[in-house]
Amino acid sequence: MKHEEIRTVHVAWLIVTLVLALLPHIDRFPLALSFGFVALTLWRLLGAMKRAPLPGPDHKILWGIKQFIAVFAFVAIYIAYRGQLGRDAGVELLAALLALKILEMRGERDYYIVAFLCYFLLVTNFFYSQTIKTAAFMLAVVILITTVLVQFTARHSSMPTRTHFFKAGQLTAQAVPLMVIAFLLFPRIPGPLWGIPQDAFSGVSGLSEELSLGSIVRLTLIDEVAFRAEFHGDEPRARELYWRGPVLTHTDGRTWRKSPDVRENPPPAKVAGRPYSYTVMLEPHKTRWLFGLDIISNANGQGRITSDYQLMSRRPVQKRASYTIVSHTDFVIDHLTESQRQENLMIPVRSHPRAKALSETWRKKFSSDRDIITAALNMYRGENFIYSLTPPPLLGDTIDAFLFDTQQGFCEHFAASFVVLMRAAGIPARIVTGYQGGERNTVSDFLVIRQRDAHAWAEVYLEDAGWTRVDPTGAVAPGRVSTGIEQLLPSRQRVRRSGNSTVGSAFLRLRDTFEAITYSWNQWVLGYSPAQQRRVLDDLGLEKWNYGTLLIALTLVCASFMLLLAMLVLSERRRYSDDIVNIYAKFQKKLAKIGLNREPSETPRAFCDRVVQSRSDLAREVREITRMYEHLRYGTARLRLSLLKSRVAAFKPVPAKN
Amino acid sequence: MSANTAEVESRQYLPLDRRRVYIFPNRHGFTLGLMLVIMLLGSINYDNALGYLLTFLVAGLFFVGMLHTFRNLAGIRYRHARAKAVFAGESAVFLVTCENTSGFHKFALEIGSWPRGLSRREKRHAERFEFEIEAHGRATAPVPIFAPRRGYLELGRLRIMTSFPLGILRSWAYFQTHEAVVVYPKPHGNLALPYADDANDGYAETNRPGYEDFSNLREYRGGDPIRAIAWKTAAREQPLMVKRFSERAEREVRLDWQTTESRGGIEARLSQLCKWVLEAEQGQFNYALNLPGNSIPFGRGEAHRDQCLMALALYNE
Repeated sequence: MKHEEIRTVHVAWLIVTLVLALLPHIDRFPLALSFGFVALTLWRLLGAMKRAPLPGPDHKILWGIKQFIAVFAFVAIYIAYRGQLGRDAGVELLAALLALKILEMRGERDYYIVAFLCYFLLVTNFFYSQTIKTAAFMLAVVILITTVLVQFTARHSSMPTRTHFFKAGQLTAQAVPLMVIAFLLFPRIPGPLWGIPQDAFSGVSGLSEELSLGSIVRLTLIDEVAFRAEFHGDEPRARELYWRGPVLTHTDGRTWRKSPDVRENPPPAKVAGRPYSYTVMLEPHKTRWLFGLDIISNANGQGRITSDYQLMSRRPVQKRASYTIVSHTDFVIDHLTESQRQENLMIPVRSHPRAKALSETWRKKFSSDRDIITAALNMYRGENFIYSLTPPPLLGDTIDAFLFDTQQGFCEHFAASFVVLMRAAGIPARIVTGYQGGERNTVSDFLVIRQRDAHAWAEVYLEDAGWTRVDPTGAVAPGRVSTGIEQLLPSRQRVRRSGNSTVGSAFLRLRDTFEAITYSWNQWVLGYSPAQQRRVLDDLGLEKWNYGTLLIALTLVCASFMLLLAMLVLSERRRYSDDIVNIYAKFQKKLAKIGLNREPSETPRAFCDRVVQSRSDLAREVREITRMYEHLRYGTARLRLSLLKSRVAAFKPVPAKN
Repeated sequence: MSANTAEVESRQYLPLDRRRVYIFPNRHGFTLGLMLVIMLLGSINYDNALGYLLTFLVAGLFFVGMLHTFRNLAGIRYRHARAKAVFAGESAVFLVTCENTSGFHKFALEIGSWPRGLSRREKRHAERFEFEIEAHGRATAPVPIFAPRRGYLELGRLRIMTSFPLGILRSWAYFQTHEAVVVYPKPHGNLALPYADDANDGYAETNRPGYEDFSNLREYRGGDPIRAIAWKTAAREQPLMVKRFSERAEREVRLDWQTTESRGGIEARLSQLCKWVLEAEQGQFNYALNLPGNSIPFGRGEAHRDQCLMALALYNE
């Protein structure tokens, strides 16, 4: 079959679009792939310009070379990923495939397929990023792809490129409401339909399930958002904002881990004070922790509460999760089984001899547990302990080295050493990691908790009060707890929070605005889950809906919109007459400039006569334009609007010479 | 071959409206549809919010595109078609004029003949012409139709089609036309032109046409009598010229149905007569045509020729 040859301009536009669609992937691609891609598309471009032969039936050797490149690319990607064709390999394969497809593209069908695949290519980008920026970029590329489609479809017409852009923009703008309707109403089905490649969610950071001294500091320097929280009603004070995460009980002397014996039967908690109800929007972090404030008294069926009062999701949090729960900061949990007591007192036999010795002296000196705690805190406060995010390395027994040699560290050093001291003194204790504090968004009312707010503290079991939080970091750096970590960060890491400079506060305001937009984006777009959809539909008063009724509703709403749009798109009478009037108005304006104004009551004809009377030199033009206008506006004669337009444009009256 | 136009100009044609415009995705549209299904399944599987958004946006483009594709055809009105008469075996080119009654420029229109009962293959290979019409303007597009035999050739049903703006949807409509063009018999046959003097049957009114009344020279064309060649100018190595003679110097030839009997069937005899008419006109003869039930007196010139050809074309039609 003979194919229509695709012109250079169309090939060039398609390649530009394709490159833009691929652009976000560029730093993930191996260099060879990027070069190969550019080389193949350039080859195609030169072919279209008749500067180079293209592979095809006429050039068997080149065709062979193309086949070789194809096989080579596929094998290379296969080997590079050791046969594990997941997300990254899939994107690379698609890019290689598209470059080859462009090369052998001939005829209309191939052109359309490549353009469609550009839409598809945009999707691959969303496995890596789903920010507002990504969405805006997507929208721009969609308009560009649509432009390419319009341009190619109208390739035999006299349509200028500017109009292609305009048309594509218009189409996209009209499609956006349909997109919103479908997004809200399309029945959301929970859960994957088939397997998800293992690398689909890599590259997300968060607290780990282990703690060995020196690991949280990595998070401390990360500005990424861990989660956002919005309180419904009362809100605790800043120093009560302890977001509990992994509870670490088990230690081998170096590394702390969670208890191997975590059950799903939380001991009864006596709560007092006011309940805090809040919604958490959690960023994906790959593990099952859900963060909550202190003791969660009502999890609303979101996840499970374990015996050490952690909230666990049923599945690893691989995408943004949103949950609304109730917490109490005033609570008593005074239940400890014997095995739990043993677990929370355990220190490896040969570890931390100096710490153990210190604890024993305290045990002998003080009778009450509280006095021992106070002694420990006083030690941190009084001696040469320094809160530092860049502590010197710890040699040998890390706890002893920290307590007695370097005495510099941050939250996890203090928490771990404190727990060791307590356990050595016979007080059940454990490390709790999580986040502390949070930054208020001034535009919208919610807190942003970033990775650098990661914190570690201790909980001790007191016979008369149950589990009690002790934050030894607060003893050495009280600011860390009351105002957040910001002040303690090196200035480079610190966002200028000083309210003195107006530039600073403007910057802050801007950042908060952006943060507020992001929050809504996350909540309404990225977090639009089956549950969220259910809530929205309930709010809309759609009760007892199912997938069937939802699809009917979707169809009806879309159809109504299409009907409205049809009226807008297809009605031209008004638009056309508006055009005529606008052109005539231009003509009037030109006359007004030379002092000839049309009276509101004057008909165009009367106005024309008056103008001709005073300016006989303009008679011919003015009469012609007026006649055309009357014809177009009121007549039945078919006259081209462009004619009137060009006449008015050419009409350049000069002021009368007196 | 000059204008013999068969045309029925009529004002009864209505502009295309939604009752007469069809719309359906073309094969590119189905390809995109398939891709959208894959994108939707992917979005569900990975619960990817932006995946959903993109899928719904492109699907939205599809639906919005429907309105625009329809709009690109709505309001077009068939006006008329003109064609010049052709000989059987040629293609008649109808110049079809369409009018755009709407205020929107119509881009990337395709028009072609579309009789009922075309096979799939014929549909795919049907000849189409691309054109456009500006707002409230008119445009003319050529629609060639093969004329297999003499008689009337009807333009028949036309299809106007567009896939503007996205190329994924096809919108089309039919124009039922009433125009026809005359198709002359195919000029064919090897009998010599029956000169009156050769025939010597008394029809000739002047026995020997005068060669004296020479008026001017024109270039030699096939069929000119050798006697008329201006040998003097030929000797000067100029192109072969033929002497032309004034009215008085006319020869006459009678083209008679009876003399073609040796050609066999009706069509073959009409073909021979057709060829004679052309030769006689070219050879500056005065010629008359005798058909059973129809005879055309002596004459010359394009109008006379067309009258004769028309009589041949419509013989027994």
